[in-house]
Amino acid sequence: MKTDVVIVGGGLIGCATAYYLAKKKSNVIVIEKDAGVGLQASGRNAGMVRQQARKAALPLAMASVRLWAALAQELENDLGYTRTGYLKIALDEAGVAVLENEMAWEHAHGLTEVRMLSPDECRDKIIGLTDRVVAGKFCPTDGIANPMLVTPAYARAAQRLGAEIKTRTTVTGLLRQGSAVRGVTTEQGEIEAEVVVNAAGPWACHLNESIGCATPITPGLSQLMFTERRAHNLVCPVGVLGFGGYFVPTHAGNMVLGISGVPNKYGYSTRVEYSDITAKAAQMLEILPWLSQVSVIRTMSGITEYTPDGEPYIGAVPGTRGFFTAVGFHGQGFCLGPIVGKILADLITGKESSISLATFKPDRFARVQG
Amino acid sequence: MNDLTLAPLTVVGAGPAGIMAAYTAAEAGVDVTVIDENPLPGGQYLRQSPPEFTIPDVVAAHSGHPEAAALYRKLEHPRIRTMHNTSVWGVFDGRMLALAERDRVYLHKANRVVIATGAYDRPLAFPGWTLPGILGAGAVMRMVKTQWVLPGKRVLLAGLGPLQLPLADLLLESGVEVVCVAEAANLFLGWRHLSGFWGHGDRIWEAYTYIKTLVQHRVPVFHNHAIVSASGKEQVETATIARLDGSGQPIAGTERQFEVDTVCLGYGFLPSIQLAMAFGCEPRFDENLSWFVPRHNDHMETTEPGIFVAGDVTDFGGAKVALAEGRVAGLAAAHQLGALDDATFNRLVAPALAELRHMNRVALALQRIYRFRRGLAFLASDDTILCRCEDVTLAKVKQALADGAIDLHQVKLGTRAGMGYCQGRCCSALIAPIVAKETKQSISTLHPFTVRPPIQPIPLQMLATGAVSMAVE
Repeated sequence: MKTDVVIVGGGLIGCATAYYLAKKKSNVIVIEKDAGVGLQASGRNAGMVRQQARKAALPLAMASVRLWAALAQELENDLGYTRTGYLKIALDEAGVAVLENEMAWEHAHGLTEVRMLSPDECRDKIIGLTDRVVAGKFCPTDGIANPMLVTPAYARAAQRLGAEIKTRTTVTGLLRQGSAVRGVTTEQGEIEAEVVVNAAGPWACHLNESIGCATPITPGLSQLMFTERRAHNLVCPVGVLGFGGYFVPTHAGNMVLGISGVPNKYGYSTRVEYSDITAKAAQMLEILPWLSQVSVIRTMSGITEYTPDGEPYIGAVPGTRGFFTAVGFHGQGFCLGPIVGKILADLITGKESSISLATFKPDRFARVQG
Repeated sequence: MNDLTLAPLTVVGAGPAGIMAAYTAAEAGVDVTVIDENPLPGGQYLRQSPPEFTIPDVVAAHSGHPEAAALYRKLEHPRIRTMHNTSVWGVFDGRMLALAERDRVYLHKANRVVIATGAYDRPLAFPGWTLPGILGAGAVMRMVKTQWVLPGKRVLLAGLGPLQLPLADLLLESGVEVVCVAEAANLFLGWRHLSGFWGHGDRIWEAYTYIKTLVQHRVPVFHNHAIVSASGKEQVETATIARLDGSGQPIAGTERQFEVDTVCLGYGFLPSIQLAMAFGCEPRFDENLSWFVPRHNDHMETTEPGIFVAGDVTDFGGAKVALAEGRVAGLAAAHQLGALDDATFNRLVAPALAELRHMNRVALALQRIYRFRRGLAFLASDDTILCRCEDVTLAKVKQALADGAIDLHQVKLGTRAGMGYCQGRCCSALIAPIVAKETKQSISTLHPFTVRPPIQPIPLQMLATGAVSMAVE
């Protein structure tokens, strides 16, 4: 089998890249180990499309949010995307300084709509919010989308443009010719390609390592509790500084109560842990006391990829030809997915990235790792 | 109940199967914890009125379970501790049961478990099935027997299985007009299974007494007929039944319409497999039920060592089979725990297995006669709701399949079917046949929705109490 581009991994990054490449008339094959696309972290997250509190990835997030605005129309699919805004609160004075520093960074990058909120303004926005809130930071252009719809929508749009999605297929290695990558081997045979993209998320490391570019990724378990539907939901997602959890409304009226992952605590397990959900439930009641009578109806978890510096690996892998990677998103992949797919398609078709990727070089830890 | 010392055997469910499993193991010298979500034991079959009802339970007495009182007394065995009002909402770290009791939650270590969680009314989706006034037969039985509430005045019974007869009998005796009974089974196809009833004269006699009541009240019984639609403004006003072809599909032109204010649907039961699935027990597709049950061996042990099943969770066999299965499971668990040596176990289990085989003969014959025929799974029209929690119609499910979904999980992600309050208990068996048909797969190869905690919705206030209570080792 032969094609222009093989993409390893049918998550959001892989399917978005496939779509933007197919739009540029490239022949693309996406290879996915699962029975469908977007079944891992791409579909198992709280659906926040957030620019706030990003570091080096802020310009990417801002560009991505511009894509998100017209994405449902472009992909001809409801994505549940709404610009609800996002409120981040601090519970102590030290936290206020952190928020103010973040805001300075955000304003410097042109995200000028971010502003600080007084405790009363926070409580006006989020009814029943704890009295302990000292300050808040709000970005009106942040929002939410339905993770379960986005990746399949990209995959379908790519397929309409001729891309092929091979599910239940596992990539076992790279086909190489000198320093050039010429395709992949799978359990079902070889696929030759001019370009290979590794977008296999937390399972990506061994493929990058096989070509001498270590991209260290530590898995962490992000656990989500879904509440019953509520007539009066949160108006926007709420994050709490130093809390390790977040509150997100969904388009259907449920709430997602998220528990942030801790790198390496549970390996690649996607179980939900009793000690974590009970402890976090107790802490969440302190932030939003009215949650006490709201029922949790299901839980879910996904693997978040953690990198040593908190930034992803994006771009051509140095020292090779025809091999690109975009992995290690450190919990930022859902928001960044659209723009990263678009940039990768540009890079693969020989166009420069409009946004500097210097911080995200895939080989920045390769030497350290030996 | 704050004494949380660990018993070597945990039984979940205090219906006939659970009680018998617990009692048998206790008699063998095993300490047993029985966990039941109801305030009183009995399960569905022997359900008791709530304790605050002080009126004498004459309806239950009349419909006759004289064995019930003796069965409840078995729970008074000194080796048995029963936790009422306690539900199991999850399995963590392999063998830790998460319990919810009144207003708090905690973990309970359970290395050996008998799952006797029973079964629930099987939903049947047809145009109009979500109208008020259309009720599950099990719910109606419960309303009448334990709450003394009649479901309506003019009732149509539509269903599949011999339990329609006692329900019709109960309603008639309670003064309700039963306009007709539509029985989906084709008894002409069922004759060849009648040999299974050899030696079960009591069952035949029981059926005869029910039929006699129907005849006395001149209630028409339509065999090989199913309900195909219902309509009404605020609630059900008319119900239509039709004759079925060999595959269970309605034959056009055979419809009969009835004016009613209530419809009782009794299309059999679906086993409550959620807890078994949470333990990781492998499911088996049952052809007669056309749905999944936990796989088990002759000694009622599932594919997870030390996890047993008994009663209707294994497939619908009724109370007598449940008692026999409970006895076998109780013996096997006691044997594994070393309370019975090999010789004693073999001596005790042989008659229990013989009794179970005897009971299973008639149960299996009934399961075959009242097989859930495929055609019954395709009564819905495009605008019929399949997932009631999330208002997902057949058309939306078909759209998700057209968009590329190939299994139940992907339909769930694309439509939200199964994401609501009941967590897919109802809609999964309605949607699976559609998925199988549209994707040209056998329904037996589909996987039911993954079970994740909480098995039942749980308020955050309760969940939060788990943070402070210690796990019970």
